[in-house]
Amino acid sequence: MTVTAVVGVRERRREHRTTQAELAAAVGVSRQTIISIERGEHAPSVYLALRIGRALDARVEDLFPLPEGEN
Amino acid sequence: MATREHRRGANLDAVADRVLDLDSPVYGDERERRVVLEACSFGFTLALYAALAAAVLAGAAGSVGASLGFLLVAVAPSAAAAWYARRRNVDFDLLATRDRRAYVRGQVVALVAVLAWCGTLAFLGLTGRPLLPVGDALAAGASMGGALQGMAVGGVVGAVIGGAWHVASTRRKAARASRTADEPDDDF
Repeated sequence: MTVTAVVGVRERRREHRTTQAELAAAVGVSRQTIISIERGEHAPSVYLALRIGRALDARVEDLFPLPEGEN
Repeated sequence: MATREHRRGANLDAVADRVLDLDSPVYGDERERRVVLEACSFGFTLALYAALAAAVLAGAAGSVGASLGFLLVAVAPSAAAAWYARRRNVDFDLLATRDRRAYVRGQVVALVAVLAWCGTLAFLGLTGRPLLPVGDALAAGASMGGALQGMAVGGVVGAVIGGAWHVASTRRKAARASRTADEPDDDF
């Protein structure tokens, strides 16, 4: 997971005016896990990524874009 | 979540699943589960090398039974782990060969440990005395009755005190859990 995830998830969460604790509760994980995802330290499973996307009204591809040159 | 690739109806697989209980909430969310399993793998690896070292030391001290026990402690979990993975179509040996240097290093360490262990037993067999003459220092006998009773009582008292402290400490940690994280949360 790259730094791109930090911008995608954290930025979208703040635009949505949702705290980490609220997002964690909405998707069923700990706040520390949300922090790890925002920092790019943990790559969420497909299902968790979909739940995060639904909670933030965003597409998974926008929250977790692949770096340039990676396919 | 436990993998379900194994053949249905296999009793040993069912026992393994029950022992692991990977769907239990004690493993936490997916990131916590990954960290728990990584931590267990780390502990297992350390225990493996510690058991090999202990087997060699016990053999050197002339304690054949203990050295065999330590060797069993080293070999059995490794064999069990390889079996568990193989049932799910993951072959440890094939994966290990993908990093040639690490594979060779692991094989050399295992070979050195086994040869050292065999060497200690051969020395004992050929000379009639252990490589490390620790004598009766590690043997418990009737003359140590009082000391052993004291150790037993101390062990029980320590277990009760330690257990109570651990329970209380875990409750305090659980009460702080929702507020504990690497960074402060946003406040909208």
